[in-house]
Amino acid sequence: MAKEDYLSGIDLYLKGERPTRLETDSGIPVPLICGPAHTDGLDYDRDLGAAGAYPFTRGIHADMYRGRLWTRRQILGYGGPKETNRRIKFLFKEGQTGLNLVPDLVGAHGFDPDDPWAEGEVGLQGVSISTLTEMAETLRDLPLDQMSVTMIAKPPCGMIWLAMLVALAEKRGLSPASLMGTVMNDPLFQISGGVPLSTHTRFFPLKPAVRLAVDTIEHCSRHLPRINTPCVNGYNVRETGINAAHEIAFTLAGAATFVEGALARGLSVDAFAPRLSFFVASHMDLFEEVAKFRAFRRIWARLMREQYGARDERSLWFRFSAQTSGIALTAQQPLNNVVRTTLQVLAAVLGGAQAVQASAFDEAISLPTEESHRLVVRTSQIIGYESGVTRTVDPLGGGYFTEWLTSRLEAEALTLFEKVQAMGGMVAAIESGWLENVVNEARSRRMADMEAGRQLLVGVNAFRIEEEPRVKIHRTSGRWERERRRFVREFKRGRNQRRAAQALDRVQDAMACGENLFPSVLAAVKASATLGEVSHALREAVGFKVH
Amino acid sequence: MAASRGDPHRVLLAKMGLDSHDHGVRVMAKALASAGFEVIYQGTHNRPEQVARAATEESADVVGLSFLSGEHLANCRQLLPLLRRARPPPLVIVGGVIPPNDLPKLKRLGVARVFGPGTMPASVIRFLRERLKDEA
Repeated sequence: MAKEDYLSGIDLYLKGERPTRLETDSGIPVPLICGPAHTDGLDYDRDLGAAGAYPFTRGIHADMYRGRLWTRRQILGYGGPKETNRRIKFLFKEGQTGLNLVPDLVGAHGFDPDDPWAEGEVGLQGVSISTLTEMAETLRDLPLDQMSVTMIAKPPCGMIWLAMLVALAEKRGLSPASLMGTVMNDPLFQISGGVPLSTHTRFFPLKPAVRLAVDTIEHCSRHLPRINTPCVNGYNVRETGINAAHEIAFTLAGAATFVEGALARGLSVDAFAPRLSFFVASHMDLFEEVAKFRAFRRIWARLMREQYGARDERSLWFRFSAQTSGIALTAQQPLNNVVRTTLQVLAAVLGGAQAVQASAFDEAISLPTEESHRLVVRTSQIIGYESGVTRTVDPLGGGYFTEWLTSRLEAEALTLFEKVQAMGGMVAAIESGWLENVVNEARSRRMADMEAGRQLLVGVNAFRIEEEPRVKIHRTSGRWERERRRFVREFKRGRNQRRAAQALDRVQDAMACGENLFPSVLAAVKASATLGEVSHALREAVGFKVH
Repeated sequence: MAASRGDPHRVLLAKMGLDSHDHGVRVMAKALASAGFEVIYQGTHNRPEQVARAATEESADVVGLSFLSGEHLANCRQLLPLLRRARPPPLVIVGGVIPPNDLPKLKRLGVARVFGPGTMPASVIRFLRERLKDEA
């Protein structure tokens, strides 16, 4: 070893290590120390309240984790129904308490595995389910009326999958009204990372997707009372590199789109708002993330009551599940990610999340293995059962820094939120390219911060070691692709063609004449139409072509 | 193609397939532009024919592709033969999450170099400058 190598560590001690920046991740300058002056003007009853009491800053339930620990709901889905069914059972055995399914990109964009766009992509980043039979196989042996099923999918896939779930329940002799779970069905989040308008409109038009989301809200409010929808997704946009204030603003502006859409249908706010929930990020700046979750709760409660006139308390609850941030993880020295994820889960718990999904440590380089998936569940269990943080509600509440930061973030977020609303809401912000500019700017800033050493990423631009990231992807798309393609083709051959075709015509009619689409989509999946076919029918009905 | 001496080299960057994680490729686009390259970013969701056509139309000296979710072989198998038809064919580099076992396969298809996750733009710039200098 060269002398310089170890002398550098000694030198570091003499120089003294310091924070590389004195602002929060979102750029708020942090006081050296906070005291009463920082919370001057804060009124306990008006601004905080008890947990379970308006404005719910401290938590949506009075007893929080004493009543019930957060749900551990690892996102899963890969390959085909059999693999996913196996992994579901494994995770339940290891202590997961909810099911969280994600479609592969093929299904997510409304294609079947035998479509040209599906080449090389089947069963990657999610599970390939394009038929009712495959949904049944994926959920084989699982008691639908006793467990909560979450589906992270946007329209049209989200609506089609929900229809399959309903059809499956009926087939099993269960009342669909007993189905519990969440269908995200948020058309405003960009699948898999990209944010430009093109990703929102490349494969399915944006405004019709919003309509599908509102149709689903309407249908669930009348017939599926235990299905939460939409689950407004702020996580994906946060992963582009924007900050906590942006995340609050864009997530709530997205929610406003659905609230206003449903109100425009004539639904009363309390008929659907209690079933609305959120999916947000949990990032590395621990205190800022806690402040973010608290600000989210306060802003949402006030918005719903004062702006949208909600009376039912449940309409005012910011119910959320937190996904630990993937962009914070590194391919270098992957075990470091266990530490990062632990901090992110802790932030979510201190922030009062109802559910937490954590990334596996090797997620930067592969899909989770059983071991890494198990470790994630253990992380939650250790925090839940060994750390003691669950014994009291909102433990950081009342702290000078926490309350100051909560208020500061709230103010920044509200300014941004109002800006988005003034330009016509999230749809307008996306279509005009404004959101894309914000994201690109944030990206450049983050990269510049990293190159200048203001933002350290251990193992990447600091404390590096000589190594090649060992990438292990599930390279089985070839096999799955052949399997799934063959399955779908046989499935289509073996059904009553006329019945399927008629059902698809009905879907097109409903789309064209503005009826709620859910009943015809449900009838279509029962008539053995595939996900790709239903999506195609919807596109055709509005004259949308995929190039 | 081959720009006359003094003109910046032209780099076409694109993502193919359904994945739209474009953070890495966008960061690279900006960095290459700052380093003096002429960068054309084709965006996401390109079919192989679209990338090949753009490479010709833009007289690309370099084609850079970004992959994340395991779709690299399927896409490169379709694209590289199309790119090789150009005279002279562009230099092809790939970035993203690529398993080590696939590196020789990509090389055989004609990919000059694969850059893994966490690659800082400076390495890519250095590589391009050296390779393009040789070919000038």
